[in-house]
Amino acid sequence: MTAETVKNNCRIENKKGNAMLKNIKKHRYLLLMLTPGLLYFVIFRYIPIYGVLMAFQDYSLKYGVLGSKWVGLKHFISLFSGGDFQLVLKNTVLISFLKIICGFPAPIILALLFNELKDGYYKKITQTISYAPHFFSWVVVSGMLTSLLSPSVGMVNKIIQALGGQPIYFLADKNWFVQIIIMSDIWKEVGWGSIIYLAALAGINYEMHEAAVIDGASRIKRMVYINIPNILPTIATMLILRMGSLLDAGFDQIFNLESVAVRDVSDIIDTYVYRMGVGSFQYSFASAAGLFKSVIGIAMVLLTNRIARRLSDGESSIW
Amino acid sequence: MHKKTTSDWVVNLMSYSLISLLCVTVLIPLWNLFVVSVSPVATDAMTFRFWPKAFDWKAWQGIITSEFIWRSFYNTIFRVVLGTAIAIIMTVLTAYPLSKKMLPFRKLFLIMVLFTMLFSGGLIPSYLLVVNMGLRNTIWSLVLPIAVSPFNVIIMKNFFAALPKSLEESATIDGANDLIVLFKIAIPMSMPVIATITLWLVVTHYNAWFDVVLYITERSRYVLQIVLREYQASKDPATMNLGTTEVVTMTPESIRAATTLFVMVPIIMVYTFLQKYFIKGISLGAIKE
Repeated sequence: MTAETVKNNCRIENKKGNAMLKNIKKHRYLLLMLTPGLLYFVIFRYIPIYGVLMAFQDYSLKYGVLGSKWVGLKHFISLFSGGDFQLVLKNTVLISFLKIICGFPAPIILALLFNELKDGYYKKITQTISYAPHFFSWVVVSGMLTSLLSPSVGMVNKIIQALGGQPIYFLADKNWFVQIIIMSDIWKEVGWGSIIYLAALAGINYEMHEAAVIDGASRIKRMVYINIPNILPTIATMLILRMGSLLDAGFDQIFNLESVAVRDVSDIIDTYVYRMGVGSFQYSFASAAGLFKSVIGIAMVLLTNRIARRLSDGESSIW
Repeated sequence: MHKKTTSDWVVNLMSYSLISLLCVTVLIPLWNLFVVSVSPVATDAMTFRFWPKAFDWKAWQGIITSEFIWRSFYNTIFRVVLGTAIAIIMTVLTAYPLSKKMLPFRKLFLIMVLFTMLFSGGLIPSYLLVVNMGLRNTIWSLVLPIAVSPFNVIIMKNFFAALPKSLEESATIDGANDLIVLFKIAIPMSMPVIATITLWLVVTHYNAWFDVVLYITERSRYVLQIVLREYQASKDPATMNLGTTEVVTMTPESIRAATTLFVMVPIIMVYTFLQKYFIKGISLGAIKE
């Protein structure tokens, strides 16, 4: 390399550096605005991501992540060799799968039904009512459910008794608990979940329906051959998003409805992490369980997105 | 219009009946709560009534006159107002620069935000962070950890990016800096999306309870959701801190039902009156970059 080219390279580097500095100076107000947000992400999102290293340590509050002893995969090994976590994992996947199988189609069906209603007060009022439970917290809904299902004063059991049956303690009965979880989850989110499909249905070209009517297609036929195919991309996108949270079996819901009596069927990863970590101070062990969940979560999103992209030539993937 | 066929009738029957059924399942539990809340005497509570035998407001009197309930209500409002204000300001300030293609390091910053939507450290590291920062039993433990949602940032960023450029450009030529452009032009033009995200934040903060379970141990700092949780676990009305001594004769169920309704009322009102803004937000989330 001759002295000349080195000089030239330096000049180019300097120019680049100068341009960068100039660009930063030009956008200094934008960078200033961004500072609080960046600080937030570093402190409240990235420090915990760094902190998850404690899953590979025997974390002690005194020494922190920097000073605690490294123990490698110890906590993961005890996680998977103990029977506890296997049961928890089974419950999580089971509840989540049941929620997807029963709960995912529900808002699609509801949207198709809403779409068949004539615009007017009935449609408006029923939509308002069916969206409402989405805005209740699970604390509130659990208050409602315990009142409704109470074995002594609950309406459901009073009806069962009036019909000659025995009262059932639904929320403390292992055979009923998961069913109540699935049904109440659908009940709470079905209305709100239908909005996105209603928007997709509203976007269908009206001429398609007109042509079908002229050809003599019935409403059921139009539903099956026009409405459903047209919202398939939306359905695919929603399914990808849902699969990404496969290990989210619904912490808020289960935490508020569970009890020791049903723990064998109700305990999921999130409740387990809470009990082990915050409850019994086994921070590293609980972090290991949490990290396992996060890793599976990101893997599921990447996987389903790839599959969707391949199946639909990029139309249904989320990026 | 074409003639009504059997298929039409089937579709109408199915849609109207199933949708009516769904609405009944929403309304009945609410009505049931009300009936239970006005039947506080144990002997009345035992038999099923769709219509209450008498409207006995003792349970309602108990919670309406309870200092504990009102203090918790005040705490709830305080966290809603402060939490929403901080979150909306932070979201706008983060989203606006990211909407500018010329921003230095934009890609890096965007990836930083997007990655947190895919991966998180989980409960324990976040919990220990807040505890180690000494935020326990302060309002900041409820406000700061959820001050910025990456999801909201992306929605707002996309909205800013879609605004017509001409106004901002002419303001820049007139010598306005980015701060002035944001507050004088971009924010006023983005009021629909800001309103929607504000409402989401209000609901999030009003309904939040788990962070209080984690970080708040002083009862004087409880929010309504936690009071309701406590009442659900409690079997004895005498321990419920109510404003009346008559509680001993009431069923805990009636007090629980009244409190549940009491916690529901504000959110039902907000939702019913501002419904269209909430619904508008759904389509905002559908924009793909």
